[in-house]
Amino acid sequence: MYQWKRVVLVLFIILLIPGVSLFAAGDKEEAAPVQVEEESGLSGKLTLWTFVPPFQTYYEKSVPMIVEKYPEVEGLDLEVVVIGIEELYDKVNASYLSGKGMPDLVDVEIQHAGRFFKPNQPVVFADLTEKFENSAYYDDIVLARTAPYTFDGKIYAIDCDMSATFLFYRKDIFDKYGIAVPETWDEFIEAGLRLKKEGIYMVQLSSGQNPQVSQKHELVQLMRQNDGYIFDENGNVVVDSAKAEEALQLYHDMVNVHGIATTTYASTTDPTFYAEIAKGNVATIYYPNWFVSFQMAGSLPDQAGLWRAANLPAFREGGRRTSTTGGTSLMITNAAKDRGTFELAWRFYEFNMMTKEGGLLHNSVIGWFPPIKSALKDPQMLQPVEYLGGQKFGELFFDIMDEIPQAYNSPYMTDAYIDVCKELIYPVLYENVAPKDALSNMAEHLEKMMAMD
Amino acid sequence: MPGIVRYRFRAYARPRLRGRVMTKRIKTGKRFGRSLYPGRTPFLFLAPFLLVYAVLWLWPIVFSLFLSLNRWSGGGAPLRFVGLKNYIFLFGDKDFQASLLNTLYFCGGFLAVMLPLALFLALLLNIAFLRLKGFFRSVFFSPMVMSKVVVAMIFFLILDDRGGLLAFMFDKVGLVFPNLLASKRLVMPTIISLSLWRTTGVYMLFFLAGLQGISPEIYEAARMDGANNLQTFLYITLPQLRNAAIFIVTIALINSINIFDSPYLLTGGGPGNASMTLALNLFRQSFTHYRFGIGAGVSAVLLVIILIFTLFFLIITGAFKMEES
Repeated sequence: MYQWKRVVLVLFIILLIPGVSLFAAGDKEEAAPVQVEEESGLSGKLTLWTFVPPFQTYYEKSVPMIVEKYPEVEGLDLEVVVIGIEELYDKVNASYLSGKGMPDLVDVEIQHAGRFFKPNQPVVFADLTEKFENSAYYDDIVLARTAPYTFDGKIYAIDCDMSATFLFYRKDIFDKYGIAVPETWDEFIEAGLRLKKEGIYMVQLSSGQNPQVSQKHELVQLMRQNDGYIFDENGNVVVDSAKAEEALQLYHDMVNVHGIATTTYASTTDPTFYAEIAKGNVATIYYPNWFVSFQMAGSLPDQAGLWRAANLPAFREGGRRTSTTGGTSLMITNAAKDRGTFELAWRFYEFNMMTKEGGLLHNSVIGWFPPIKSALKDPQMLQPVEYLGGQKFGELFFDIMDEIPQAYNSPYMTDAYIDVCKELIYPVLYENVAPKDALSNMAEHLEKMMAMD
Repeated sequence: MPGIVRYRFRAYARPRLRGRVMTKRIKTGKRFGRSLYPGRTPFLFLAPFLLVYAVLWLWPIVFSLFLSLNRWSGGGAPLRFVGLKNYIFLFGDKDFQASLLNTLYFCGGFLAVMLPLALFLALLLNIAFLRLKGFFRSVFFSPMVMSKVVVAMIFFLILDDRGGLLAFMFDKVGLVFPNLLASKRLVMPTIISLSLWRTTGVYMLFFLAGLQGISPEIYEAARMDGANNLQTFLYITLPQLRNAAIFIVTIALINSINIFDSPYLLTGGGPGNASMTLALNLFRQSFTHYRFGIGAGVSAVLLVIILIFTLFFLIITGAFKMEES
């Protein structure tokens, strides 16, 4: 009897070990052989990961349009998966590492793009420089919007939106107190001082107290407008410049010297961000065009029709009247090359990101303004925007299209954005640190982190 | 009956123990050149669990320690061995220094308030004539079952200095509610308060279990000897709660050193670095900046701190001596 028990026990253990090994190994995919794609008779399935739920609708609507436009595309089966923004990039890395489950296309937010281009790191995304330059639509795109996704001279994507900064102002407040739309920051401050007497803030800015969620956009837009940004086109740290200091000083003065700005720690996706604005205590806010449809309209529905858009006040007469911040782009992964879907993915990409039809579709579904010149001039873009009181918002783009600054990116952008709050905004506003010292501290910290790699 | 259990275990493990063997030694004969003693059988049955434990728990710790000696940015990037440079960087980094100090601050502040508070609530709930004990137990425990994210969002809405509940109430009486989460001085006490609100109920239940395990005859004997309430509490209740207290402090110590959710959800480690903790630093280095080697270094430091603090506490309370006896 005991002998049989021992036999069963030993058999159980012998079978267990390979069983666990099989379980742990999983169903590992065999590496797909590299396929040479023909450029005709394209058909297949594309998997796209995005973190923006409305984009799913837009991408799915583009599929029949792509099949119609490209004769060589015989069939396209698109699977769009919506994943939370933080999890998305971890999943991309995990997929790359495991060699399993990598999508063909991924939506990458501008701030996170640099993560994938760190030194010594294999690039997950496909270099599209040649595809861009050989595309029939190359001359129609606003080339500045490829800057955030250009690393080591190679273009990996173009942003899906112009992300041009405008000054959104409460027309009713301006009319009531006889305020003219300011054209320079000095005029802006003067107007703010007049509204201050009426108990109204001219603008809302970020307090930078929460490095994780507090907005960096307000300061970053000023720095970019004044050509005093964090990185140059070669990825060098240039934040400790006189122009950056001027921008940071303006930021500080609006809050602490003139008292015309109120501050908030909240993110634009947080309802508390809109608390003071909803009460009617804030007359202006400056953000890119995506802010209106993406956040403002949904968060301040009661103020529909009260807001208007204007060019951003310039630092000096004749100076730049816009800036840029934020953005998202679609990127093709190298996995698409490995599994032979690259050409199909490129057609999908080119349609959505470079053609007029794709741009107009994007505008109709999302409400953004794609960096495609022919699309920007289309009558659809000149439709009155209801939230802005029927203003033809699209008209403003023609004026400032060539003034949008280059938004150079860096693999250290996540460090930089945390530092904008931690080293710049909060210390300058609340700890009496001089802007020059704060910028110097930030430059030192960034260079130290870059030296790590 | 601990004596019999112990005796039985020893007999089982050492079948050749002189004179005290109760279990029959199973004659299994020889297989593969050696006999299978019954003493090893339990471990063979534990093998599957140990295998999974080693893969999912032990291996990540070992790999993490190894990773802390390398630079790695994830994905397909190669590991670059750098020795102790990650640790040299960490101890010279002001973010890490701040996170270390904040973690110790949180740990000390939390334990100093939680222990007497949890004990006090447990004593209240242990009062014989108190009605609705079950209701009060549920009330004190209920914050623990709420999602951490939900709790953080609720606290946001309460603490917001513009449109929050407290700001509204202060405004009604003509006062200005301070921005607690924007103050470097007040942010950690605020986070400690949130954690106290959320977790004191659990530790109260542990104390309550300890209190209810004390034999009433001891109290009776003390009363007969003329002990008053304070003497009873100091010389009977507290010593009898020693085991429960050791357990509670150990668990609370480990949880508080690992504090992550409140700083992450409420302040992101800000303002500046005022609420940055070791666990949040680890997260940011690894999953925001993709510097996994540095993050692994932080996790190694966390592990060492937890081990040192826990061992120190167990030694000074004589927990090991108690177990031996």
